[in-house]
Amino acid sequence: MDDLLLGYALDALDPADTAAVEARLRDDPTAAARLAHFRRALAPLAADRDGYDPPPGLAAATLARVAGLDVPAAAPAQGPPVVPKAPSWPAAPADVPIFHLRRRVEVAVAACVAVLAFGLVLGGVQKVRRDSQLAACQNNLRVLYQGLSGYADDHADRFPQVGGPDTPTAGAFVSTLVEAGQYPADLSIVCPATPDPDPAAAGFRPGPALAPPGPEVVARVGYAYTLGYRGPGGGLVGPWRGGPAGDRTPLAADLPAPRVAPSDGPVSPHGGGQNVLFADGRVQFFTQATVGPAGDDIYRNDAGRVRAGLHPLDASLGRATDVP
Amino acid sequence: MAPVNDPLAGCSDEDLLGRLRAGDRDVFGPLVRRYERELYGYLRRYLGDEDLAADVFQNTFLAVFTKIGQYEPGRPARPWLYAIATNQAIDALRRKTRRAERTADPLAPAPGDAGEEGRPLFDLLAAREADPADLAEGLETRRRVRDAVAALPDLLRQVVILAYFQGMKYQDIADALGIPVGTVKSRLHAAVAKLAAAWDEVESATDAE
Repeated sequence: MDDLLLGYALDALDPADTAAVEARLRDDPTAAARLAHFRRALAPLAADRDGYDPPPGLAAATLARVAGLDVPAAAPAQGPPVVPKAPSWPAAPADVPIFHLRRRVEVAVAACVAVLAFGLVLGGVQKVRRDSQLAACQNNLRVLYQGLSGYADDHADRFPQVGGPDTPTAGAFVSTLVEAGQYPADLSIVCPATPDPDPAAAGFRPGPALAPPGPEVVARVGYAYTLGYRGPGGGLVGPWRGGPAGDRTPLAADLPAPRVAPSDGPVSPHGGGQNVLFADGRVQFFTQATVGPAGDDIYRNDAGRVRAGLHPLDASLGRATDVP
Repeated sequence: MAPVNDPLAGCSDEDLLGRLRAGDRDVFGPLVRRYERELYGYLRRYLGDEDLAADVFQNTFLAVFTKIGQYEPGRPARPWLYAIATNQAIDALRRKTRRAERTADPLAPAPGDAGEEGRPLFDLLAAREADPADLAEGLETRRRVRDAVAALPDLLRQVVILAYFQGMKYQDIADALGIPVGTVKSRLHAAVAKLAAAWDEVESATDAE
């Protein structure tokens, strides 16, 4: 009975045992005394009931670590290499020994097969690499969303807004998130499809209070971020959950290729498209840039410029140094 | 502050694990955030080291991500997650113990600061001098409680933390630790007896002063 009484004191019993203990307590004074003993023994633990706060950015660091896992390779090109149908042996010329002729055909066939197989394998490897980079990039954006979402949880559903005196450029959202404790100071989230470290990637060097000791710490995020839009009075309005465009509000995306213009066709960090993170946490791959609200181009506002949108449904994402 | 428009707010933990198992990676982040404070707090108490707890927390969700295929849809999520976390924590403690060239004996007091192993609970409770900056009595009491729990043998500490601080039911604790419910009960009983003895020693020492 002591075990059940202790469990009752801890509220650790299932409903049936709880009912049994309560029935016993009504009729047995010694049971009540034992219960009181256990409650006295547990009472001091209440002094430490508050628990421990996790270190800033723990969730984001966890997601970043998971995102860094090797992504299971997509299935390579299906099926065995295509082997050309063996030709029927031609009639041997009278003056060429049959052995040599057959040998030449064998070599030619083998060469064709080798070329075909190499092409298929190489193509399969490249596809696997592209698929892996695409999936890793999507995981990066999910990591990004966790910090953004955590910030919104603490700021009345508003995501970081750029364009203010302390956050003049699109890349400043990184500093906002690091200073809010949503990310560690040495965060690095860069699209794996970027061939070289992108100088336009948002870099943030935290001050001494935030930076761990050691080599200079730079938090880097290699994705474009929303520039917000201009309200009726011309003031900047940042993104928020459930905003005018709802789930279609793009928050971040792959950095656009240098020659992006509406007439240039798809942006191509992933060879024909880009990943986009939306306000509801969805990450999707698109082959076009016109995936904002009502088919809006997410990299330019309605005036065709990389600036804040001109109205609530005018999405515009900027690189680190772009200003609203 | 509870988010107003979180699309996953109405999803149970079991739903999230089921969706993750089905390939919906978008739910992994929300799952991590849901358990960030709770599981970190559990690991911090159990391991007694904030860096180790953070490391094990990450390893836990690495394991969740890579082993999600082992999750049975509909199975209670919380014990499953705690089982993974506890196993990761035990492994971490063993590695730490091996590094310190000590034998891991689950019935011995938990590895702690050098020189404290084998000391009576009373000494552990009373020996820590108050930091001059700690003026509030509540802080000192909290420290004593943490020390007392940390001084419990490993297997007893597990059940106390899960039952009292994490608020889990006997069956969930049994599922999380992979032991029978009867073993949970007996370990809890032994743990509470040790804690009661510890409080009595402190009170006796205080009265003597």
